[in-house]
Amino acid sequence: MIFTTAPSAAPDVEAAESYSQQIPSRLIANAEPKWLKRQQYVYRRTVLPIEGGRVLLRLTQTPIVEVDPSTRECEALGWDVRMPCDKVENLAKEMARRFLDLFSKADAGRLTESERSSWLKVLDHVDFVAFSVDRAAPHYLEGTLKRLEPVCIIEWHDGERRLPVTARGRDAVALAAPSNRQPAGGISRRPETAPLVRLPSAKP
Amino acid sequence: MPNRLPFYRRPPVVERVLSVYTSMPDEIFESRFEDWRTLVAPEYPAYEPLKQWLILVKDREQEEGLPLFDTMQPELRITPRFSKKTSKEGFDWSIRCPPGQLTVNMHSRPDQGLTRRYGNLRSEFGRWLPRWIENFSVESASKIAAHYVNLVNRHTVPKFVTEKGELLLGDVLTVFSRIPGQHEYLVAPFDCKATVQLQGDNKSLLRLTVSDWPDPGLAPAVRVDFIVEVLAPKVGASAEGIMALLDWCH
Repeated sequence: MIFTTAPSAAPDVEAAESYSQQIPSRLIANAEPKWLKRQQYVYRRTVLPIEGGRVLLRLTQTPIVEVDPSTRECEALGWDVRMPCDKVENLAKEMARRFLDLFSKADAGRLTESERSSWLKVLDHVDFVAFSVDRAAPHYLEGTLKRLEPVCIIEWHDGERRLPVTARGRDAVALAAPSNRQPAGGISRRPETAPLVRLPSAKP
Repeated sequence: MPNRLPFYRRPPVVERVLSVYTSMPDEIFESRFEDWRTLVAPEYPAYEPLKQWLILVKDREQEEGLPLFDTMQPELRITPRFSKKTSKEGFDWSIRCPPGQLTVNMHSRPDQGLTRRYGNLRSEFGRWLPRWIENFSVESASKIAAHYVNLVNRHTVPKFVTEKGELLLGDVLTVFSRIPGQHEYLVAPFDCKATVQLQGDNKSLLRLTVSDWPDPGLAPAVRVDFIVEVLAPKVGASAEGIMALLDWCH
């Protein structure tokens, strides 16, 4: 029978800051990797918030972050965004900032040759059409509410039918068109992605 | 709070964690995170996201058990985390909120007289849960979990320490006391895991993990984790229902 630990049973583990805990077959290290070769990590994000989340930049590819152990810096591949590994929590913000910086310069026709190359690479990673729709100024669009329940259907002026699928979308329709066959003015065709208060552009 | 919660007189618990999970589209999370930050920041001013570099280690049996790094899917995970004190100030209460998850951590120091109870954590979690549900338009909980981290050493269980400073671990954790044979001492590393499916209407699991405590300064010390998970709870987005299940987990 065993009753006590050995008097000198100091556990043979690393210091707390590099302590690893294990969940099934996966190690979680609380320190940056120390390998000599560059290592790539998947950064699972599908959107980047802009303007505090009022506009979302949808990504078409999962970002890849490459770590350079010699400089302890990491880089979002295809974005030309580099930063120290210990500041990596700012990566999404810096990617969004990079996009906006290039976008504003492209919009003003002020891209340098290298920036133009970067801009083209960034465009490969984002849904630029959706971004353009989301950030466009809202405008009035007339449609007819065909039904609200169980599935909301609006027929827009050009005959297209769209289903606002979320609760917010249904709320928006209910507010704008309280009775059947009323104009559903100002309702986005993408209400599932837009807060009610913004009523963003309906034009895709 | 229910009238009769289980009460443990001197639990060696150093951290308690309550969590609720849901299915949440990234668009919802990202578009409402700043509103959530505005709510949380006044009471939890230290914002220190948890940065994790995850790697996968494969056990290649066909290569004589040689463990190899799987270079295909290393992952960078950044978890938003708000706390009342920064890690430098002595990390304390915290709220973690990655997409589809609300977690509240509460620390205790039973060796220094700071003995917080489940009731303390329950009150705090109960304040934030309805706000989280409303802010992110949560429709139903997909998992509920309670996690207790116990530190077993001479400070937290002094009655189980001999005059020579030996920890009577076999008396504290009976899992070690039935190993057959003649033995002198238990020697680190300690490593034991068990998972039990619990009785009841809910599909629930108790996971028990015994391992070394990573701080050599506290040795001899053992870490004992109790995690109770309720999978697919039938409570929808009812805060009362979720809290009742957390009481059951406790």
